[in-house]
Amino acid sequence: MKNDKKKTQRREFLCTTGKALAGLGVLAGGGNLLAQASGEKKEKSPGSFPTADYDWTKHRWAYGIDANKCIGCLRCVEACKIENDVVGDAQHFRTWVERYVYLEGEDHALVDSHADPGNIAASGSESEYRFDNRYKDAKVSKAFFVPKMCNHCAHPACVQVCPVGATFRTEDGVVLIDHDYCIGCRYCVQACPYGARFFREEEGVSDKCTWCYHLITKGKMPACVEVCPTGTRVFGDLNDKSSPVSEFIKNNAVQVLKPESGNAPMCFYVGLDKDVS
Amino acid sequence: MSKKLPKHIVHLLLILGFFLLLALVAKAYLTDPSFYEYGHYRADAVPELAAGEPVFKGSAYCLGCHEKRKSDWQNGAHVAVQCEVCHGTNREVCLNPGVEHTENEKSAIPTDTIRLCTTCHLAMPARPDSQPQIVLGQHPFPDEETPQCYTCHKPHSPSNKEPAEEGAPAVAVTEAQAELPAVVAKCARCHGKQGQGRNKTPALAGMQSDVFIELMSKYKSGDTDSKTMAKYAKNLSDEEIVKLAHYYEGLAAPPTD
Repeated sequence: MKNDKKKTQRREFLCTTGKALAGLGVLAGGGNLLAQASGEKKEKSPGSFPTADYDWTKHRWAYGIDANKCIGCLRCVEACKIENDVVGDAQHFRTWVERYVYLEGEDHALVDSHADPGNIAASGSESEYRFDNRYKDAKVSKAFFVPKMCNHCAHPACVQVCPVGATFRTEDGVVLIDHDYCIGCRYCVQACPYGARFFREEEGVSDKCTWCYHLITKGKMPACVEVCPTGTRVFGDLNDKSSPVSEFIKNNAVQVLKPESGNAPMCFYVGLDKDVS
Repeated sequence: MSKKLPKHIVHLLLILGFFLLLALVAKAYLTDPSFYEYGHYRADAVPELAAGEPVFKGSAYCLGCHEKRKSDWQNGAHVAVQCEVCHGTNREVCLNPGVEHTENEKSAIPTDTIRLCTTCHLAMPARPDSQPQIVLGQHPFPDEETPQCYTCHKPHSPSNKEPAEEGAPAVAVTEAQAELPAVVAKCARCHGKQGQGRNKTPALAGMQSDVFIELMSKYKSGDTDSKTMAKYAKNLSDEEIVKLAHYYEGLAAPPTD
């Protein structure tokens, strides 16, 4: 008898508290959803997004790189670091340039970039960028530079793997990272087939090229394009048939890096070689 | 069949429902209001990212004040090189629009021009042939103690052409040149192949022979400010100086503008 009574009491208690909590939850949740719905309506009504002067539905950005023109001056790497306040060491960078050198009789290229110890020594510090002249006396059969960066893919693997929706592709075709939402799991760093992402240890978030979203939404060029002295780097709007990048794609046989990865990159290259990937 | 569900099943369903509700409520509370606005991300992040202030101002900004450089720069081979590439930019000044840069604060004047210029112009495998390149050690520097590129080249408007090709009339090889090829070649390093002068060096073409001889004698005796010219003159005989004087007198003077 005693046991039975105890059981009933416990059951009653669980039932009532459960119902009460459920009721509260429904009220709160419903209220919140309602608030959200009304908030959405308010935000969407005025003008363009994301800024008052810039409507992202009117643009479709793309990037062109003519590897035949690159002189490896690395002004792009430096400008990117300054413009975007990227950590000034050799291991954190949003764009970089690779040097491919085929020595006579060799089938495969030797590759180095500004992060190579020899090149750091040549520049004098990790926050300056310069290629050394290590091949000046070597027998070189072929050599060239290839600038690289985030390809802002149309089907980005990094976005697919992000567990929290911290990285996304905008309506105007730029893959961005929301640093407030990034939890620092680094799945995206692993997923990117181009190695375009890096981790900012101090903030615990991943980072990468944004095509200088703060510049292109103001009608300017990304910093790397702005400073490139040879016209290697080209940027523009595919919706504008006379933009530099539309002309670049129209007038050249363009390629993309690792097409087999299925990411559909939006950086178009001229002058790629078999070892470049 | 009409029998109710067993009690333990009902309880189980209730508990599952409770947790489902809890999850939904938590999601509603914790998800940013703008999250699903355009997709599976926080739409407010986009204006936040677009709001950043530009650091690189672009050459148009610099030329607003530095008008003097405008025509130089726009007509030279460096027109594709923006001001801030060589002169640098200063994040703090650029990000605070109210703060104006003081003289030489933002736009540093490069002092080591050999290091700066060889960033792009050092001969290197992988650099395309269209890029003008020099081999350090083979390139002549008139002032060997403090070699600088701007001694001969105008940094704001270097010519695409070999300096001798611009404007100077074609002159047949004269006797003096044939007689003194090595000496003339040395002069030409700084004064141009036709003696037309360069950025920091005066024209020799068309110079009166007696003026030339007097100047060179001064250099040879060491009575001069120019250590470089003293060094070159020291190795010349009087006969060679006279021959050079006549050679340069015979060349047409470059047009003055």
